[in-house]
Amino acid sequence: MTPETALYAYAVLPADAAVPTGAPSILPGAALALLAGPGCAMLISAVPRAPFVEGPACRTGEPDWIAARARAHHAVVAAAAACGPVLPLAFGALFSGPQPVQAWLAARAARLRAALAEVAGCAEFTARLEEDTEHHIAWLDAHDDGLRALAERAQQASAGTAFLLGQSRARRLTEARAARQAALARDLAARMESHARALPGAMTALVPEADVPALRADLERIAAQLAGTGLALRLAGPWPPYAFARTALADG
Amino acid sequence: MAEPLPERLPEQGPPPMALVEVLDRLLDTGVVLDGQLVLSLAGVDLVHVGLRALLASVDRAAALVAVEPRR
Repeated sequence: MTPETALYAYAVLPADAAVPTGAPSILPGAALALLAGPGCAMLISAVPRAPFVEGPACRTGEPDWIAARARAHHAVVAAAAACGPVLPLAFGALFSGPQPVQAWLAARAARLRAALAEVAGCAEFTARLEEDTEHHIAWLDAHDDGLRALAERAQQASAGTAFLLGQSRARRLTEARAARQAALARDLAARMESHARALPGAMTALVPEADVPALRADLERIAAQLAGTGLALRLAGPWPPYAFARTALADG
Repeated sequence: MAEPLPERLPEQGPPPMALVEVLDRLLDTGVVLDGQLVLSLAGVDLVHVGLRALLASVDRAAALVAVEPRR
């Protein structure tokens, strides 16, 4: 290593992992390599420091450059995850050389090995509720007796009373939208938990591959129930265990 | 009124993912190194860089690991 170079770190892998093939590295021409630690290894690329640090050649303020690096980071992590367990590092992690990488691995080796064992055979999924506001309001108007009653009273009331009833309806509508989404979110979280090995975030689950079809079927049933109500369900994944890695090593 | 929403659950996978999904996923995830700095990009906090690890000499990085500073 020279002062002009650094090691870009993608993920922690098991000690016997192979370098993934077929993925671009963080910078064009930077080869992927594994740096061994105690019972695990770091997937790295040797890169020039200049684009990453303050100075005339720094490129971290260029959105297109950052986006390309993010895509490459994910491609490498995904390629590694396709071959076995990985613990992705936060995007943009650079070490000054191999010794700091090995020291970092050694300082938390047991926890890294335990986390690698936990993610083995799993993928990460996140469920999201998306609201079509206009449609959701129309559905609530049609299904909430209180909202319907307020609308009917407003139609028959004088202008001043109708205004006040309209204000009341707007408040009740806001509460009804939030309450329905919160109830669905709780239900979704419970469904995901029933299929998950771990829950590293809100509606985010680390799911064993064998349980993925059941998770999808479960959520598709909910999605079908939501059809036409102004709320839709989206399931993002499979992802490498990005969120799990953050929470598993959150305290160092 | 809007058209009825699809009954089938939309899927986003397997990779390759859309760039916006990748950026969303990478934000605030992954194992955190010591002393991370949030870079602001076009007014949006987007990228975490392990700045202290980046700048650390071998000796200093070893000391950082030993101290186990707060995240």
